[in-house]
Amino acid sequence: MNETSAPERPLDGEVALLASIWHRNRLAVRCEDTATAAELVAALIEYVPPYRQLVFCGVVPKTLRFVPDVKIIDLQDLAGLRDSLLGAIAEEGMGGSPLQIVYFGADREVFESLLAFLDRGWVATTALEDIPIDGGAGAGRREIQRSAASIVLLDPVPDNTFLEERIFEDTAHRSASLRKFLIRMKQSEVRLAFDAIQGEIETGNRYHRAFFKETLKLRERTLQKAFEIGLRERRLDLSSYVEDTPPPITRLLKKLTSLEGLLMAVVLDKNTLIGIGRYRDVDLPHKTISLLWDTLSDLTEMLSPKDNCRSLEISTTRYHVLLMRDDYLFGFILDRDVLPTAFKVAFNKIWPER
Amino acid sequence: MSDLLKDFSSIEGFGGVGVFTPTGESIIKLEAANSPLKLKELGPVANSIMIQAQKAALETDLGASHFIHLQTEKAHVLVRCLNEGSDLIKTQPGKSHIHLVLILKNDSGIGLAKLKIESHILKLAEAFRT
Repeated sequence: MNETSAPERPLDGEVALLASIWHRNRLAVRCEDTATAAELVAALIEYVPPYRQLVFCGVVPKTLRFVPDVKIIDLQDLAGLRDSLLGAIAEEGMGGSPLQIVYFGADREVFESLLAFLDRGWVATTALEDIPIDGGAGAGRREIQRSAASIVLLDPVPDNTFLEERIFEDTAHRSASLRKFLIRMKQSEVRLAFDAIQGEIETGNRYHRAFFKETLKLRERTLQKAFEIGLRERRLDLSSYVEDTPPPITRLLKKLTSLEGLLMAVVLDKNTLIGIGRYRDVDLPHKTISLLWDTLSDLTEMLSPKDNCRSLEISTTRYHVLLMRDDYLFGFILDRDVLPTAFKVAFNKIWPER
Repeated sequence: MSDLLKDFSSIEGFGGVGVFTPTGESIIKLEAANSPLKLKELGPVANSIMIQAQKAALETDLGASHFIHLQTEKAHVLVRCLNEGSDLIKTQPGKSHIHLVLILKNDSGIGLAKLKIESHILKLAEAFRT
């Protein structure tokens, strides 16, 4: 057994455990004492997303037999159990609830004949020192000490643990129920976001990340998590169907932060939202821009049929709205005190890409 | 009133200026001689754009719109609405509600045009107060 066991802060360990469970990584709770193992499993299943189907196999401790909504499979025939679980896992890609399996009291045969065939989504309690599972051995493996037991992370901890870290930071010195609320809320949000994105993509339209961030009101890290968890649970890589904001637009949106009085910037490519920046507290949907343009562009064509409209400035009692057509349609909401012409000059300086 | 409009003709690239009712009827206008930009054709459309922009701005929670500036490859079209009443379309008794449309060639001095619009619109409004 070549496991690493570097000393770590308790918080790092919890972050790694939450991330591992959320990403359906494989874990082993190594402990001689079944009562201690049961306690650790009880703590770990707090990190299981609420929509996942918990499945207990093996010698299920009495204390855990009445966990709500758990399915207990008492099958002793490992080949039969393997076929049954593999069948249920195959349904995950077709919309079935993703499984979270816990095998209590796994011996060498259980690892070799059952768990080795399941590439994700299980926790096993075991007394084995040498866990016979391929793939995570060596550098990828981490071991987290918990009193008389250790939890072995058989797969590498996911790279993107920002959300997990944030939850533990935000709930430091707070109650477990508060933390549970945040964990479950975020897990449900990520799951619902994935479903919504999948539904939209199935319509066959073209989408950018900016559209989903804006429409689903997600931060970049949460959107990324939705793609990652969806891949682990549904085996479906939706990120490949969603386009990134073109790098020049990303750079532009960053540079625009330096322009005073700019509240919001929207970039559309043939009615597709490809970039958005909110620079000050303004609660206007990005559709404001496309709606204005759609309303007015037909009329502007009547104004000069062979003469393209380059920009449209609308001053209202609250804002200046600037619509500029280039390769893209840019929409800017400016503070009432800003001179739109001055903004245009500044914008032209920082948008050399065209 | 015509003196006020004539003052706009001193702006370089002047194409035409007119005052319209909010429903798009021309009240008074002045066109530059030999200008390719025809106020007679452009004015009512520009006025419609202003009305649509006002409706869209209110619908999208941007607030009441009082000025638009369109830039095309050949022209600048500036429309200033002065509405002393509270109704977006109708003119209320005793209140002035006019749309001033100014058309300039693309290479014109917009800053000066905007200044003149702001300084003259109030004077024009006085003449149209019902």
